[in-house]
Amino acid sequence: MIPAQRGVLRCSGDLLFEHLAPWFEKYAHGFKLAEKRSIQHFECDLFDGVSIETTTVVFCAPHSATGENVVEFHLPGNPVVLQRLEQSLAEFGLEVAEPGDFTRRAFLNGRLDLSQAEAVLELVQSRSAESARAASQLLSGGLSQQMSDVRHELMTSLVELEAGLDFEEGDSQDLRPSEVIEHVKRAKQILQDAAVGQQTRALTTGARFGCLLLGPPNAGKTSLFAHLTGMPSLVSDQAGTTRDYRRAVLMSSSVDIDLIDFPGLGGDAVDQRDALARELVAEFDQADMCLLCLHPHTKPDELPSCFPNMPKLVVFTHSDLELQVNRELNHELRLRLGNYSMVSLSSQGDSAATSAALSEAITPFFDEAEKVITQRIRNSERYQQALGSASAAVETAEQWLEVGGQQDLVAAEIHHALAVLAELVGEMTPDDLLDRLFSAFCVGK
Amino acid sequence: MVVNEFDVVVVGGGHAGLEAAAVAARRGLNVALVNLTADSIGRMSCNPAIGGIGKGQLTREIDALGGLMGRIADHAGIQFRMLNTSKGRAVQSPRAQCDRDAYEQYAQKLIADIDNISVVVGEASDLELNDERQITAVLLGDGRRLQCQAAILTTGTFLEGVLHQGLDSVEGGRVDEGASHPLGATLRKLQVPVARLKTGTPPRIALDSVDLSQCQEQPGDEIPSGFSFLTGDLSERPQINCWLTKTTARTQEIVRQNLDKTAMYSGKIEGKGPRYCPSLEDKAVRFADRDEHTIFLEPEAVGSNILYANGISTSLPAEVQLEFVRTCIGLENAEILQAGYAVEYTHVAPRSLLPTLEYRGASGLYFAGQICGTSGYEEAAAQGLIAGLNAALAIQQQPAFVLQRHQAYIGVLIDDLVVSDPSEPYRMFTSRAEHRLLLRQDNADLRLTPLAQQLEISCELRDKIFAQRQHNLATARQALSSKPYPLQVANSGARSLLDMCKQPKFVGWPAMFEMHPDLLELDIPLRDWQTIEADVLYAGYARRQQAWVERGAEREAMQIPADFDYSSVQGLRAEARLCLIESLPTTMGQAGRMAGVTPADLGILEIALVRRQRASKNLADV
Repeated sequence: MIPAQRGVLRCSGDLLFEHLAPWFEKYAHGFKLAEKRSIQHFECDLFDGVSIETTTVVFCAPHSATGENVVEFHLPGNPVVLQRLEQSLAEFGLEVAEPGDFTRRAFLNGRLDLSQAEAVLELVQSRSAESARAASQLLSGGLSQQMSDVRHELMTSLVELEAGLDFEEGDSQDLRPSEVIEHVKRAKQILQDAAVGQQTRALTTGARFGCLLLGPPNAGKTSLFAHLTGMPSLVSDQAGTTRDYRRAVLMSSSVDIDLIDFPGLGGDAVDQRDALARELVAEFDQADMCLLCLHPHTKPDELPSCFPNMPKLVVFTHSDLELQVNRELNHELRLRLGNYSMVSLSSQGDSAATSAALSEAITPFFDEAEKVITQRIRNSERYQQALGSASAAVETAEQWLEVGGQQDLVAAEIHHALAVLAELVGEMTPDDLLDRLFSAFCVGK
Repeated sequence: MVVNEFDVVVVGGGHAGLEAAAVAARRGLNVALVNLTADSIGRMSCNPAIGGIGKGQLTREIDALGGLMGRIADHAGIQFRMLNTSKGRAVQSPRAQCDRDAYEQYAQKLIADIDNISVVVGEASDLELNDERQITAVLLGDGRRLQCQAAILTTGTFLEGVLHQGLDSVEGGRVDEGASHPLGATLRKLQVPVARLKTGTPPRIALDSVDLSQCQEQPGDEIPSGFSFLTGDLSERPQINCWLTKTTARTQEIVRQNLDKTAMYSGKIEGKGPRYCPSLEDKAVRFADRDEHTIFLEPEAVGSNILYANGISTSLPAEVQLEFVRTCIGLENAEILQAGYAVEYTHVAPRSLLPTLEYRGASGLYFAGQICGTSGYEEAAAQGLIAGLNAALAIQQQPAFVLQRHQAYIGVLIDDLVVSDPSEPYRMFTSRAEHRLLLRQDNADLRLTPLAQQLEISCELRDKIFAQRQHNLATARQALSSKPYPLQVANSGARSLLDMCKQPKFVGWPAMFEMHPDLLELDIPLRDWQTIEADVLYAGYARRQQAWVERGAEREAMQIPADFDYSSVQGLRAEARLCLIESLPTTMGQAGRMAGVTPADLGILEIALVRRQRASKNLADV
């Protein structure tokens, strides 16, 4: 969901028309979708009172890409509009597709032949790896802690509840049902905070691609930063001129890129006591790619000792100073970095040629960025959906607790909350639950 | 001349064996029920009670499918209690104390009443298989040969059973009853994977030696409810009281001082015991900070002097048992009639079984009950029913009968069992059933009796009662829907009186009948009104769970052939592959519930399965 001219959202399913009918009732002023292959225009009312011109294209099963009924929504390519469309569809039971879901359905419905099956296998694996990476980025920092806290509260209350349900009154003196409501209230609060935090995060950083600019002192990072962003900065021949770290947003062809200019230090020189340094480490962990800026005279021992595990582009500045990068450095780089791409820039002469060389080297990275961001936004939406529906379940649980006499429903709501959070925090099986129960309480005759 | 030709031979006349024999006979087959003695058929080895949380639901389901357990327990019941009444209708469970002697006598009578069951007294010593590894006969120790097409082994704790008390151990399956040995060798010969488990019993105490004034009385329900849908009104049944008392700090001390005198803690028992039913030794060690534990004193019959001391199962020496019992409140002068003991026995690894409980490695060989690594009469009976039914269906060349997890606790039990490698005897808990809100004890008949009718294992009486029940439910629902919702109770969206049941604080049926006396004139029993109340209350949750069930149903039911080659599946992670090869799940649903198998693995597996199906179809076309 990158800002673009038009955005397309594709829905697929055997019962799609049944699910969409009430959506049209509510959001499209009762517009009736003709259930045959056709293009139709109508206005939908996704934001109270603002009409949005929408086009739908209907593909009927089995004549569609997935072999099921498919409806495509074409709207203005604004992420906010598309996100709102997704939310509105979720109200009627549509769900965000799993990685590889469309392809899987297409295969199972015989729309892909056997020779394509291998590709599907790879896709399922690589997409889940990609999604795991995007998820771990989303979860880094505060959200991860919140999820672990909320899971703890919910599981503690559930263990207590299940023990109460599965053992007779009088069977154990260990059970304290009165504490259940406290855990549930805390879980509710954390979920609400997380939802707010996640929303803010999605708006500020979630849709950006983080690019670190690293290198030893005086390798020309600040110049490169200025060159990429067009922002003037203080440059001198004195090593370590950059005292603070700076960030700027770079608008490439289609992606917002966060370019983070680090002070002239290697990754290992970070002092954990320093607040700024800790922030740096966080940036370090969350970035998507790294630009390593080196001077041809850089000695191998001046290289940062560790590199984040992400795509890397090595930029040699001042390449006019020496024609060839020394072999020793090259060897060391391969050893330390594994795979990397490389570009050499001249500090003098034709600046247009320099720009062209840099842009050519960096374009493949930015194309990759587009994919990463799309995946991340998709995840962020799933998370917001999950947080919302977990919150609702926990709230209902709290209401049933206050009424009393219906612990089975309280437990059902908490199980539901844990299940929808499962993709964020991992599944809990009945055996896990029983293990916790037996280790916490002395129960049974 | 005696003809020893049968369709089905059931080995073991316990709770699993009874159901297996009865259902196979009900399907019209000729059944032999082999037991070591005739008078121990249907014996309650451990506590004199049926039902309880999770187990009560199982018993109701067994009954709804035409089984015997509910009827026997209702006949022998001397105290009936509905548990969890304050925790929600979905988790309510019936439980009954039973008269131990009445229970086995009635079980023996029901078996004797079935014409095509022959009770054979003897010890099964070997199995005979033909070259296709198909069961052909069960051989007895005295040389008799019982020809059959299917054998169902339900040996409980008797297979190589050893009883432990203190540091003494004797061979046996139950106190004063010998163990069964030769079959263990047969199973090993057939390469059936086996392991050891243990369980325990508490001492029996003389009622007249207990100071009941210091114990808390636990009476039965004022309005007793039974297990069987065939049982009528039980309110005239005389009921006994049970009593609750406690251990003391001194009890813990004595137990801890004598740990070296128990087989369990001196390392003599290899089998593992259950955590949900810990021995007093376990309680003293694992929960050392607690200085009291509840003891339930349960009479074994009306007017009996024997109290079953539930909660203090132990294998300490008899003299130590007496010493610690006398430190418990009200038991200061107690006399022990029979000391507690632990029993260790051989069971088969349940993951070597199919969901029909047929052994994967030989056709016609079934296992059911404690021999499959479970605990409890109800779990055993449920398996007996499923094994007996499937043995009969296979002989009659009918499709197998496998209950799904959302249909019944029995489905959960067997689905869990056939992929597990139990480290303790498996017991049912409501928390094992993810669809527990759908699986209420009161709707077991609505869920399962139609299936029993299709399978022709219901009976005329059941059919009649079930038809009446459906009629009542429809009438009651109609009556409630046609009455307007009272205006003085604020609730938006509520249309009829039926919506009253959804109220978080439902007024209760007596109040409803007072407001609308004409409802009483319909002459519908309270339990039917309560079923409607629960149906309405849980409807929203039922829809959510149903949607979940349907979404996964297709994948859930997708069969994995027994000879499926996991090593040929590209892209499957090594850990997942190992898990799958170990447990050999029969459906995708089972594969998905295994720890170590991720959704991505399932996606890959699914694609590989579809591929295989298509490939074999193409082959068939050529």
